Amino acid sequence: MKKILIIDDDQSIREFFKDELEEDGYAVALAATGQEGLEQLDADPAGFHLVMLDIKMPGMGGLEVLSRIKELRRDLPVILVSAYDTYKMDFSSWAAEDYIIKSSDIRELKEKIRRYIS
Amino acid sequence: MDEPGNRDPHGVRFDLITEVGRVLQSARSVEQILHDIVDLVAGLMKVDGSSIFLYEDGALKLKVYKGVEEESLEPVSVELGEGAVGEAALRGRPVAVLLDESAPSFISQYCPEPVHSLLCVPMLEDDSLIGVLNLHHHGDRQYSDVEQGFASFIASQLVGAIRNAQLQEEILRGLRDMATLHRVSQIVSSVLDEDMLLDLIAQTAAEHLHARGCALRMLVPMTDQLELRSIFGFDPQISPPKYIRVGYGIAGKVALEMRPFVSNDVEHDETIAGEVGIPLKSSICVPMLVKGRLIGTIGVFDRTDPDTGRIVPFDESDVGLVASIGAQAAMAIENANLFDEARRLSADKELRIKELSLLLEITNMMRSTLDLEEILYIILTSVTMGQGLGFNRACLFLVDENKAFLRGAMAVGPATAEEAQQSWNAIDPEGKTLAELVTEYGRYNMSAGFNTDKRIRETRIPLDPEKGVVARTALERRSFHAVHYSSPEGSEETVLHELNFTIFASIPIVAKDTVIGVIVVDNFVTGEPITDDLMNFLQLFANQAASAIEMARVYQNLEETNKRLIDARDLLVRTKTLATLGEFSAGVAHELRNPLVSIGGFARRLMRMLDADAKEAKYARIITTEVENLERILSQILEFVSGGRPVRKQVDVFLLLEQVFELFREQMHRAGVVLSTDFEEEARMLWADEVQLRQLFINLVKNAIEAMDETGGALTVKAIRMRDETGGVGLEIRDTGCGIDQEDLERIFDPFFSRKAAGTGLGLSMCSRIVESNHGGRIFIESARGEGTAVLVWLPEETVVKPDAAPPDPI
Repeated sequence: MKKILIIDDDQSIREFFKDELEEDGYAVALAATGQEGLEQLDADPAGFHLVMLDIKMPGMGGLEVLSRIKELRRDLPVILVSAYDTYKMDFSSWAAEDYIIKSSDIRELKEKIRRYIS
Repeated sequence: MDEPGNRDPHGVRFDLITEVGRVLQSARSVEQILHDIVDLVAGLMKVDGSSIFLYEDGALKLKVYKGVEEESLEPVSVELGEGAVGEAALRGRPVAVLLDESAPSFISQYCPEPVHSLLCVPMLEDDSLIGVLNLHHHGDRQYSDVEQGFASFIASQLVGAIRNAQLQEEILRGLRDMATLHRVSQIVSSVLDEDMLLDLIAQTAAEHLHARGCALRMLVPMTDQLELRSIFGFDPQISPPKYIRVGYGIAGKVALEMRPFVSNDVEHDETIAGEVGIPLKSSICVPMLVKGRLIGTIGVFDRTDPDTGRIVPFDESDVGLVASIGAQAAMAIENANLFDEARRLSADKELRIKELSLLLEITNMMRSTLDLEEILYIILTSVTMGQGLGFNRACLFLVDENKAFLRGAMAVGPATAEEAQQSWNAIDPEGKTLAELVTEYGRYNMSAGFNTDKRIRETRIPLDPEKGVVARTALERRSFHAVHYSSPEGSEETVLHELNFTIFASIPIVAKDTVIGVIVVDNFVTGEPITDDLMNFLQLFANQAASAIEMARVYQNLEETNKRLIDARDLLVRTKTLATLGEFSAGVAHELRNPLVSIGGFARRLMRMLDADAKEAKYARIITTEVENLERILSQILEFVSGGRPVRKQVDVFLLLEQVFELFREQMHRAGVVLSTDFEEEARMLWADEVQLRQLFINLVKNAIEAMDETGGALTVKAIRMRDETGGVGLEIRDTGCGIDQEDLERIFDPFFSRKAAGTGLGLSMCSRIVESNHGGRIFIESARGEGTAVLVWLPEETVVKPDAAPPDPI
């Protein structure tokens, strides 16, 4: 079973994504901060197939988390999921595989996840 | 999240912005605005208190504290960098601090209640500091980004309002100066006795500047002594020295250097005290000059506040005002001298006295208006009337701004003998005052449509001595008496010949040492000779005319400057409002997006789990749809905000427009809208941001189609290359739809203004941002209810793609 790590400081959003993705047959792990997410990854680097990462979080920001993830596992696909569309312009210079704006309609998100782990 | 004020960071609603705007935009004094805003801010942000410091003379001064009357406010002054207030000012961004009791704080100096949390928000205008807005709270208080954003928004709005109020005060001051000058000129031209005149000037100058006193000194001819001729506002017991030598003391120095002197610190200057006999604090002294020659000095002392009676400093505009009074006074004194001389010379000629009183009457008439056209009218009719100087005809030429031409401004009098007969028979002088006659005669001459006026107004004579006697009058600054004269071959002046001016006088009009025009008179009907006496009298008259014309011009300039200032201010306020409102909206929109994702997401899940026919499924569907709507609105707000820096490249505007039309093809067909285009090939390629232009066209075309949704109609889109000096490209999107009400037109570009049921009110403000801020163009709307709407977009010359030309610099 493919395993996805969701790092987001908003609890409702974490749960919403988890329920949706589990229904589609993924295993889902949750982290409320960047630190927490990195610890989980560090404990089992090979166990994850994709990370969904929020950008604006208290404590360690999404972009720092991103570079740490890539230090741990260069090949692990990361999708940035943000409420900000302003970052989209800068996204191409970052190491993330994709960027998506948070929306209650998550068909596009699911489409992207399928593309990276099929 | 338990603090009462922190409970609901998203609750800052947009109608509060309207409230802030209402308070700020009511035109009142700075003090009133500050007072209202601290009350409002404390209420809106749910804090105990609020205060405002303004940055003046290098320090932050406490101006207003909520709930405290201005009189009982402690004077508090804070240096840059001192405390949280000073730090916010120094860094140019908000500073939030928690104060403990031991912390030394100037806040306690003026806050009646203990303050624990303090948020200080700097008020900036183009990075320069205006002041600091502070929020005080007695309990612990954290401010979210949104709240800080809101406070910053109010601070930025406040800057605009303060600037507004200050500008208004400046304008009022300008008008006060004009009124003073006007009054001085009225006085000086109505009194021809020199001593009385000097006393009046001193009194008027002192009163209008709210100065404690004024002293007038006149140069005694053929000596280097300045004689004290008039003093106003001082104890009669005090007797200042009657004579001062040129070069000594303030008046003496001003006389020597022929330059104004101003100082707000002369308290310890012995020479000044010696000059007026008592100690003084401040002084302005200016030279009075006639045609570059010194005739005396005028000095005012100790400006006082009319309300408090305290002595306040003079400023630059006061110097200008005293200088203008000095110039007026100099001219009046010179005229009084001329008058005295004339009276002496013609004591036996009663006629001359009559002429001089006539001059006085005409002068007063000229002083009664500031309208240039009207003044010219009075001048020329006075010159030509039988009851006036009695010339048959008069023409007036004015030197143009670049001092290259004499421009025909006006002419009075007939072109032929027949016309002359008509005009004299038309007026019955019996029992009328000169003013009434001038009006009547002038009106008749204008309505008679004499050829003279028309021809003269079309005339431009280059200021070149080869061009004849009129040009020479201005260049050599002297009068000519031409007899059997004909203009040089090919000169523009031959118009005089064609109008039968063969024996005439030509007289320069000199104001402040500069020739501003020329008057030409003749007696072609009666053939009466133009005597030297009459020429002299005419010159005296021309001097008066000059100062009246000059005054009207100054007034016109002031009016135009005011208008430009007001226009510039409006544009600035609009741009600023857009930018700050945008940033503020972005903060709110982002905070809203997260909760919306979970609400909408879970509602969607509910919908899927429930039986499609169940009531609950219906409710879930409603939630889903509404959340989608909200998300769409948020995207629009964010799109508006991040409209941001344009990326320019070559864009085929016509192709872009065709693509946009294609998007709406189906909708146009349904609504019965017929599209027609008129594109000029030269307007096709532009250096522009393609994404933003597409957004612009989509918005404008969509609006146009929606306006015709129920009725159908014609959509006309034009693109033209502007070939006049404006340059650039003009685009016009015109519909025949429902139109826009006049009152709505003024607010049409405001963000969040909309009359549509489902509109966000961001479409047109986004368009204005794209065109004006991002591409340096202008956007206008013309509309009438029921007749349709035209949106006109102008993009400047630099956006036009030209072969071999580099792209413009990024904006």
